[in-house]
Amino acid sequence: MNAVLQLASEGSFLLGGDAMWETSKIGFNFSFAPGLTKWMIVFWGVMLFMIVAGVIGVRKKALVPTGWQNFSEWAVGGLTNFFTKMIGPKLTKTFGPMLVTFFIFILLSNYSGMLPLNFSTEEGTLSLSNLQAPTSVFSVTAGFALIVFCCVHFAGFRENKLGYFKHLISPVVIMLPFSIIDEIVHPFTLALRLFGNIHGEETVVEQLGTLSVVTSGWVPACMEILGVLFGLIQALIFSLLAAIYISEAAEHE
Amino acid sequence: MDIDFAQMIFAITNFLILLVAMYFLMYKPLKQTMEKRHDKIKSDIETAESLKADADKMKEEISAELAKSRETAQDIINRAQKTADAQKEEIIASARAEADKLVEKANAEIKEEKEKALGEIRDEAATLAISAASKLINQSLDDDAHKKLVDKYIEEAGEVQ
Amino acid sequence: MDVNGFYALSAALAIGISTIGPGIGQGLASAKALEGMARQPEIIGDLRTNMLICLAMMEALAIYGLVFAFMLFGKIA
Repeated sequence: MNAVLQLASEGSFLLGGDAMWETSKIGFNFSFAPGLTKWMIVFWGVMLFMIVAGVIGVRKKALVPTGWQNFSEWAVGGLTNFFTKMIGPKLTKTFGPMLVTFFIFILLSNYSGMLPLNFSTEEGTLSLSNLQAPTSVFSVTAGFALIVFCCVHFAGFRENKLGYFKHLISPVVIMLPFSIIDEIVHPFTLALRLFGNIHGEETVVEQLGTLSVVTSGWVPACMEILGVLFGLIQALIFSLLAAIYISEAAEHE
Repeated sequence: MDIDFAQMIFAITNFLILLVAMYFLMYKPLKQTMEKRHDKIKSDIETAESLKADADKMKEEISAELAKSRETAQDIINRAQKTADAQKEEIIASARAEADKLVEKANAEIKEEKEKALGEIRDEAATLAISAASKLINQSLDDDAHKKLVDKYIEEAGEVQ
Repeated sequence: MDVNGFYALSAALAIGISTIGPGIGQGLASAKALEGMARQPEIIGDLRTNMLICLAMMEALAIYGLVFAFMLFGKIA
């Protein structure tokens, strides 16, 4: 494992030691650097918020829900119904909680990128900037996509047993490499889409803020209002596409 | 584009922790609460329906009972009417019979009186006739013989009539 | 123009050109979807979900361009 990671961090992971293109040349830098970064704190903050809000939401167990309990029941029940309509009750029973958690977590971490709570004391002065959303880190979205990838093939294997692998060579055997590429591209685009949207939005806000003194206040604010919509849509798209991939894998003949 | 495997592992582990926590702390209790509510509403609806069915049944029973009692009342009235009619007829018939009897009795009495009177008149007439005749012929006859003679005569006259 | 200049130019071109196609495609798709919604308001829910999926698929193309722009931007020394 360490040797592989060593190779990876040297940038010759994909094409061998004396390949003409090193991986860093095609844009992917693999590394293994344990250490606490700022978005990890945000990640834990979002986790803590979700757990605390969830526990407060279900604490009372009242038969006539009010207030926060009503809201959390509406959110979780509504999302579960949405996914049930999408992929059917059987798959929702297994993957519903995961998809709902994905949606809420991605939504909250997208929005966490708008909180101006990032204290930095560089250059001797205290300055506030937006937090870095966990979803604007490619490692995180890649990790999420990896979870989805595992779930997709778990669902497919559970529903169709060994017959599941037949879909790789479904029309003709020659399709095998393309099918494999297809299977890999799905989660890859899932990760890239989320990362690109959130990171792009954050970068745009950051760059607009530095353009000029006149526009530095309200133009990024307008962009962030748009970002509220984008964050919601991206969270929905991620969980929706994950659900669709899972149901597609489960429905294979 | 940087992919840090340590960060990736961090994200995956923490997400799985979050998933497990959310499942056991929120999703499951929430589902239980919703299921409990679902069951309660269902049982409430069922109870309401059974109560309504009971009420309907009772209403039907009551209306049937009412119809029956009404019928009975009508029956009683009819019977009373009939009895009254019969009694009336009986009373009228008996009254009529009584009246008839009275009339008959009166008639009989009248007849009797008349016959009695006629007899008296006949006797008187015979006596008068005898006295007149004795006065006329001045001849005294045996009273009894005369009377027999006169009676015979009158009877003959009656037969001739 | 040195190498950094080419990197910057190609980054701009990558994101600029890659947004043209998805922009037109998303416009057409949304227009048709909205038309359908106006014509049959009773299937708005289904249409919206499917429209979002289609838009996400098209969005992926623009995102590839954006990612490449980021990569090229990162190469500017």
